[in-house]
Amino acid sequence: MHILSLVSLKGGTGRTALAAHLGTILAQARMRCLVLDMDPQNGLGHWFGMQPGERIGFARRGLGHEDLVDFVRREQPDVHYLPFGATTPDELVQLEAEMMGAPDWLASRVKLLADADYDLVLLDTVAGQGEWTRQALRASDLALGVLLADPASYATVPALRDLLARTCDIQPAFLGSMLLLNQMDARVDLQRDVRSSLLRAVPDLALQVTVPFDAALREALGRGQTLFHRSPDSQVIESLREVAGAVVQRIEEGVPVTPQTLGIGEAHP
Amino acid sequence: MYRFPRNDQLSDDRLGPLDYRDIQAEEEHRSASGRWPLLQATDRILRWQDRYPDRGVRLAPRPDSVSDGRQPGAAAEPEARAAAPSQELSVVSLSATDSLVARPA
Repeated sequence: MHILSLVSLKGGTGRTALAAHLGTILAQARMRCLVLDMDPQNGLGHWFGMQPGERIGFARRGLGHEDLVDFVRREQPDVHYLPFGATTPDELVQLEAEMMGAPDWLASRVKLLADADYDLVLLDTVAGQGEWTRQALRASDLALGVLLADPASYATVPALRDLLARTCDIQPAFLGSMLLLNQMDARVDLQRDVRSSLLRAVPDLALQVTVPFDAALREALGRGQTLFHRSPDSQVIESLREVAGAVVQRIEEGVPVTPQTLGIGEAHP
Repeated sequence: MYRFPRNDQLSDDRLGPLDYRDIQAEEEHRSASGRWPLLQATDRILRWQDRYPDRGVRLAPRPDSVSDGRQPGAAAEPEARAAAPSQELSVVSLSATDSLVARPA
């Protein structure tokens, strides 16, 4: 089982939308894929028709393997996802305190899914480099940094690269990090310049493909659906197929699949 | 009511390139960050990281800085001199919560 974290240091970069659509694309490509909401906003499920306020989810305290697998939802035929679960402010404080005291809190929960037979788990993380993000990255063997093509987002690249290097690259089985520009409008000079700068400054991380801005994405969310329902030919989907290809390529070129990398037996490295 | 033209009805001048690979050659021949000071400043930090990958995002202090415990005007360590060209910004720290502190040279 491979684990891919979608991370950003700034909020609003579209990680959740990307996670929902990437998960769908990979599932349609016959990959057994689970999308896991690691963000207390609990917004991932809205892409699949989940109603706001749903409390069942990954963050519920005292979970065992059976519970967690039972919580996996399958509203859409291909996509399995696990909500964070709506929490009260007090519950969230308690949860975060528990997490701060256990650096592998998140990894141990993800491991509960190890024998559920998923090829890939996508972790949709909360923005920033706080404990949630760090634990998600430590549990992952792939990372996808999501940026907007604007100067504020570009200014986070050094800190993001440093976070990835210090948290992920030191893990022996880590397969690699990628940076993706999302919601790009190629008609805007500044956005093209951000892309060009990114490719030049961090060529080992930046993906050539960018995900274009598409207002239909918001409309789809308003209907509780992904773009696949009404805009299956969207350039967003087309570009995300390339991103999915890059992810699969990283996995295929990575370390051989062993019981350890499948999460069976020994702890995930 | 205004009707938006379809993409294929727009001239290149009005629409601009939509396929990024088509404009890649153009991009490679111009200085992308040159017009945008924040992009330039970020590029400097990234170059510094490339040079000193084990030092995170913290830039070396300016030679006349007192923040590193030296007296103003004291000699900086060789790496710091190499990393701080005369027109550089002096960046103290960059993280999600810290601000980018910059002073003109």
